Amino acid sequence: MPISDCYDIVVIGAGFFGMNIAEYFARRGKKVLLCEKYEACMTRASYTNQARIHNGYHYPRSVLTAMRSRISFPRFVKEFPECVVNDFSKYYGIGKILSKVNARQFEEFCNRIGAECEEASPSVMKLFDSHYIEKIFRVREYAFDSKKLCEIMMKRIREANVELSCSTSVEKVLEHNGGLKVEIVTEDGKYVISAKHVFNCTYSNINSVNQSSGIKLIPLKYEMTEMALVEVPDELKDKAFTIMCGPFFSLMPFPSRDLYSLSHVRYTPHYEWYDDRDKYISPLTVCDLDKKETAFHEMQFDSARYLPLIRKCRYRDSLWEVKTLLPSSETDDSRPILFKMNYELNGYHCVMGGKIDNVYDIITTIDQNKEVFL
Amino acid sequence: MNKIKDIFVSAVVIRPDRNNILDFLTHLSDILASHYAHYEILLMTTELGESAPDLDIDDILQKIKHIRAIKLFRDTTDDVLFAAGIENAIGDIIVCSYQEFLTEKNVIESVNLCCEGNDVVSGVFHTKKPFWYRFGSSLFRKLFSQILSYNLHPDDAFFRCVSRRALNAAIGTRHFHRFVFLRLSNVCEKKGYIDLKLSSDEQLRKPHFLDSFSRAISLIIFNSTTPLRVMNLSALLVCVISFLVAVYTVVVKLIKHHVVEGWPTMMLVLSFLFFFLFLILAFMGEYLVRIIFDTNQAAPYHVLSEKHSSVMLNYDELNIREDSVSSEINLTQTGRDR
Repeated sequence: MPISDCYDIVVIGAGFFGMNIAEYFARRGKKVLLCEKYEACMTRASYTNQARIHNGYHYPRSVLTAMRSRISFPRFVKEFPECVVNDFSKYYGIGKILSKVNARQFEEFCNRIGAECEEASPSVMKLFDSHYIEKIFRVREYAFDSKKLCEIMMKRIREANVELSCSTSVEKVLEHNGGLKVEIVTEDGKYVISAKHVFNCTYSNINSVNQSSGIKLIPLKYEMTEMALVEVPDELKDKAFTIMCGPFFSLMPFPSRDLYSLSHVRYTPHYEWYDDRDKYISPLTVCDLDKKETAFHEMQFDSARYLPLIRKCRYRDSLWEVKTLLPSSETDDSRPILFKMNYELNGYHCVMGGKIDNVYDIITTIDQNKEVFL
Repeated sequence: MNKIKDIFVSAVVIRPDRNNILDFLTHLSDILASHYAHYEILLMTTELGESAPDLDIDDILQKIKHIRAIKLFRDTTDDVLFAAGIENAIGDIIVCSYQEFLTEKNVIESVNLCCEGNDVVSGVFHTKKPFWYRFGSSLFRKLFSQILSYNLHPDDAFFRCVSRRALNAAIGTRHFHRFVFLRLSNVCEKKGYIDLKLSSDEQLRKPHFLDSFSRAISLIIFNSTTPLRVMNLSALLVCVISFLVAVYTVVVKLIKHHVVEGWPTMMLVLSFLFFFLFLILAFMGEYLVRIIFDTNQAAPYHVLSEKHSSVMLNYDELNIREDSVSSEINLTQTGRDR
């Protein structure tokens, strides 16, 4: 249960974004409550992702997302060195058929954002079927261990005196006497607390709070996604691959399980949907109810056309998550952070982060508007 | 104040005019910056001879942001420059033309049309052309438009606005660099046209007979084997005629014994046969030249150098959006295919 019934800042969702925002305000002397629906922090989207520390390469069709990733990359690596995994070589391959960029354009794009890339050695090229792959580039991109990242963030929010309340759901946010009234449900019961500002950082569940609070839903697109966790053959160990830029795949180390993740643009999303105010169903409920029938074989067979050794990968498990996208990103494949300040209620802010390493942009934006919050 | 579209537009300027290039680029840069979130300008030039002073690229790059200057080797045609320009551009939408056509109206209108789903927007410029050009163009269209899938507008100008998907589809086709306009026209799902306006004091580059003739011949030779088939059939026909003439000669020889009387006929037949023979040889020779040219594995163009502005990106821009949906239409679909 919360210690107090009055806070300066309430942050809903203890994912990486929520924890960073909570820490930011707590370090500036604010009384901050961080509410997490589950028993532990960073167990959903902050854990279930490709664990990629983006350095821009992934977004040749959105120069802004790419450039911000490129700028954030060294900062993230420097700030969280304990969770950075860089003991592998990362390669980006350019597909010949169906790719939306060609090798020349990719190279040009890398030069433009200042991301290092060089042609891969012939021994790496030999791993691929040259009929489907135009060129392979060796790049500088790392992975992160989300469990270690969570430990670091836990330590930081403790030191900053953020009050963390796990197994706590926020039911409603309402306007009250010029501030906000927040109805929360914990294992001990229901509580009502007041706050000057509330940050909704619940990723796919962002509209659940809006729906129960009678607030207009934010148009979002959801995808039920599967990431296969696999053991790779010896030839692929210490290497990671991403094939660009279309219906291709990524094979990345997944450090927190000591496995590799295999995701495929075509088969990772199983289905998609948009919110409907009249028949609203929480994406987390959709995820819980999903049958979770793996599409690993489709991913494996298609990926093996490009990288035949993928046939030797052994399936171990799948990670399931509801991926949340901005409909506006459909045209350019960008991954911006959605920040809706004072959304419908004064002091109520919705934040939907696309990429973990882009967190600095939201902190900078909050800092630029500090007169509103501090 | 214009609403800035969240797209990346590349403007490609073919053979910029060195006399007023700074003013032009400043103006074009302002247009692009005021309408689009991301942009670049590519200057496509070739190495010039000693007599012609070069563009002061370094000065341009110092003064104007987001410029890339690509210089190709001297013997490069405008079509290849055009193809190289759009191939090296990295925008979602690429506008490419001569300086005189890259006006605010033409750029904005063509990009808007492209965003509405027209993968290739062609510029049309209505102007009085010389008689030989109109006659030749009309004859060429009547004879070859079907067999060459030649569907360019009669007043087609050297101006295109293309989406990335159309460009990438066209790049994969044969002879893309030589017939960039035709290839672009043939790969797109939906085409758009705009009436071009020249900036007031500009003069349009006039067509040259030899260039136009050479272009027509290249189009025929590279894009269809029908003329070769026709020539082959002609050769066969002439063979048959030749055989019949031989038979006729033998018959005449058997029936009549005054051979001298047939001498003029013989000469006529021989001339006729030789005429066709050499015509056929000429065509076959042309094909042979093209085949040799085509199979020499040389790169379609050679880049001499590329330089760019010191400022190419706005590093201060944050990846934050206030709205999850966009009211802007952008059907060029560079996102995921669904």
